[in-house]
Amino acid sequence: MNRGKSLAFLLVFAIVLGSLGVASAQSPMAAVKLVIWSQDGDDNNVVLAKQFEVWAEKMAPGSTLEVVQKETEVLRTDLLAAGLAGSGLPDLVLGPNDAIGVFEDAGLLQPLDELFDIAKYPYNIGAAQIGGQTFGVPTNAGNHLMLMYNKSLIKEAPATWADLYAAAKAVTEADPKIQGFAYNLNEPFWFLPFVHGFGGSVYDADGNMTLNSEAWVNAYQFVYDLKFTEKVVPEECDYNCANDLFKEGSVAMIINGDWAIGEYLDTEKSPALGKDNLGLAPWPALPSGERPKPFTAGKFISIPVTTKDAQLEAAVSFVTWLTTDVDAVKAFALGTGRLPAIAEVTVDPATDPILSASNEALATGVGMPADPTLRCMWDSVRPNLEGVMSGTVKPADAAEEAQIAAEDCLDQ
Amino acid sequence: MELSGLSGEVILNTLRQIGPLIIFVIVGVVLLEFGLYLFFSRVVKTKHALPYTLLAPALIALILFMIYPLVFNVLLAFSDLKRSTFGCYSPISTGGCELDHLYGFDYAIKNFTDVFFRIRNGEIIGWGRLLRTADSTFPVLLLRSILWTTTNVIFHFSIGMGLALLMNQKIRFKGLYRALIVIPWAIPGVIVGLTWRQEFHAQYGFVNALITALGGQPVSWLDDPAAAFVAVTFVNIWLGVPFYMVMMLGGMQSIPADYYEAAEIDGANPRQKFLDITMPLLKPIIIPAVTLDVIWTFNKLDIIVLVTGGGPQESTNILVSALYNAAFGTAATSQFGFAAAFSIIIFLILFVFAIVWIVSSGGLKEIYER
Repeated sequence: MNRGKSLAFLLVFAIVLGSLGVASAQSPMAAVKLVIWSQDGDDNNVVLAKQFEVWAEKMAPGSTLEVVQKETEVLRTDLLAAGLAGSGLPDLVLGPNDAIGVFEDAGLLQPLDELFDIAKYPYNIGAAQIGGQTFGVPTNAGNHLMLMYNKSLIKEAPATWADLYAAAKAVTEADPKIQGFAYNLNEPFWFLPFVHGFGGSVYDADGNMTLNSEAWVNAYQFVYDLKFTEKVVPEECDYNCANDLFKEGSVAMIINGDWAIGEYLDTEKSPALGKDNLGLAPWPALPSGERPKPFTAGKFISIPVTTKDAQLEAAVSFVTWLTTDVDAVKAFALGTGRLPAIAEVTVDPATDPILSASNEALATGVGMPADPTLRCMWDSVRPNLEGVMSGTVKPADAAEEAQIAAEDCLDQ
Repeated sequence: MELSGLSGEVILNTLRQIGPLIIFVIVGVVLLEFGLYLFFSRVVKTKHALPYTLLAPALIALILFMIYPLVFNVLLAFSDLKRSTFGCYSPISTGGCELDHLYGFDYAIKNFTDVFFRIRNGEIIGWGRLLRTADSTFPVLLLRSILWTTTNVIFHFSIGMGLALLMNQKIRFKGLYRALIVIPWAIPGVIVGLTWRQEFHAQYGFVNALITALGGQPVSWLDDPAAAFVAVTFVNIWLGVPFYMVMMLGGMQSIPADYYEAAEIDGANPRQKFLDITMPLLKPIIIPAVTLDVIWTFNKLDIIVLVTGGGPQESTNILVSALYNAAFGTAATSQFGFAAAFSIIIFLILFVFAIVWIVSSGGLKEIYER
């Protein structure tokens, strides 16, 4: 009898304990107010806010997320200023991977290896790792530049640059008001793929910055020829110029990044495009047969060192869900025209030819390191690229001068 | 959540966020004033308790928003604060610190020297680069800053004065003209900069469209260094003229008409009236206006950043844009210590100018002698 009572007691105890466990696993967290500084565009931030509401309803009812949009450089300076003051940092930061290097260098980010299952992000987690530690989890893969074309003006994506010249000239001959091709001429991020295509890189095998190699000179010469020899690009063109002309149908082909796809699919914002007219393709091949290789990374969410306790618990829970839950990834990555960063979500070419083409372009890229010294390269190349594109600096001089400037920057 | 567009919900949320702060400031000021009045009247027992009380908020604001930042800036000039040493100065950084001290004369000497010279292994090897290009040295940027400032101030003054003289005449629709001329002042600088950037576009901009319509050749305004400097200077002139016009017009309208009538009786021509009556009587307005304009223009970087971004090839940068770049530029070196020293040098240049200019012109003599 006693044995029977004991068994019954143990059984009841086990059931109660088990149900407590189940209850605790499913019980929602306390409501929190999170703040995220986001470098993403407004449209994508709206999707992010909506996703938070979905998460909060299930996991922490009553929680709110304040999304503060900050342009790349503002995000960096504001975070450093808050770090110096010792307060005012957000709970989460969403931005490109090269910002992570700067924030990590300043000691303002938490390592995330113990907080997230890093193995879940097989494609691009390396772009957020510094010194063997992880400082950001990807919301998507990509951030890569590719060829984008208006199918109503160009039937088929050019496979080589020679094809692109011919197609661009044909478009302008048919209608002089339409520019054949345009891109952000003086911005090094658009120039670096050419350097990679000619076999160059930013760092040599020993990690030293090398901006004065034959590949760099060839790349400067190539973009110079685009403007002055082939004359297939406008005399002046920055990001807004190429972007606006493409959206209104005044340019047939541009080079732009995956972040713009969502906007181009929206015919209210891009009347000349939409899913019927937008075409994506990898960069056309250079005369050597190699394609220019864009930098690839993605957008990453990082957690500042000041996010603690309930805020940290909620932040980790939300970001884990946002970046690994299949439906959430589909909504936030695919839903904003970008590629997933987890293996569980794939792009089907049959149902989503646009993202499938973006994926194809992504495969031609090279990983962008999070090293903060990369910024010295951007800064040093920019004025020299401007010199080449205005015809006042020779390609060889540009490469030599960029190297000197970069070394000077690295000393600072 | 509404992020694009100013909806009613956004406005309400904003009011909810700033409302408590506004109430706190109002209640705080009232309590502070009350406390100060009691202090001056009961403790200090001065008969000037009320004036002191009324002056106190302005004095506190000056200390908080001018004196404290100035002192902090000098302190920064004695530091080695930059991205790579951020861990030493941030109370929350988890980065390490390899500095053995945070502030010192050694840092100040290095910061001030780096503004002028490039030093390797303790030896000066040439002028230091304040930006990335070889000619971004202190003398080059100083000369460009002087050229930028003098060109702007001369055109601001002459066009502003000319318009003020016109507006001071009896002409029809004067109010309308005055409103039109003041428009540049009413437009936010960001919109001015971005709009003019588009208008100076070589292929699609209004400026080249006008030039070609008049039979001229299009100019690469943003690609050619000289043209870019002309473009950005033009925008700032356009922006600065209303200030002078308003100041001069106010001054002209305060000159009694009797002086001009007396001069006419004596047979003075318009040139003589302008040189012998208008200009001398406008001097107390012209001198402070020019002083302020020189300081504002010398320090004006927003139009440069927005119209040319300092380019092409950093050719439209001036000293303050190089200073901004050192602290907040895209290289993210965040050299705050160096930038603080650099800003003190710019401050000294403008301070010396202001003293020499005001004393030599005697523009404020009448005010002091009143």
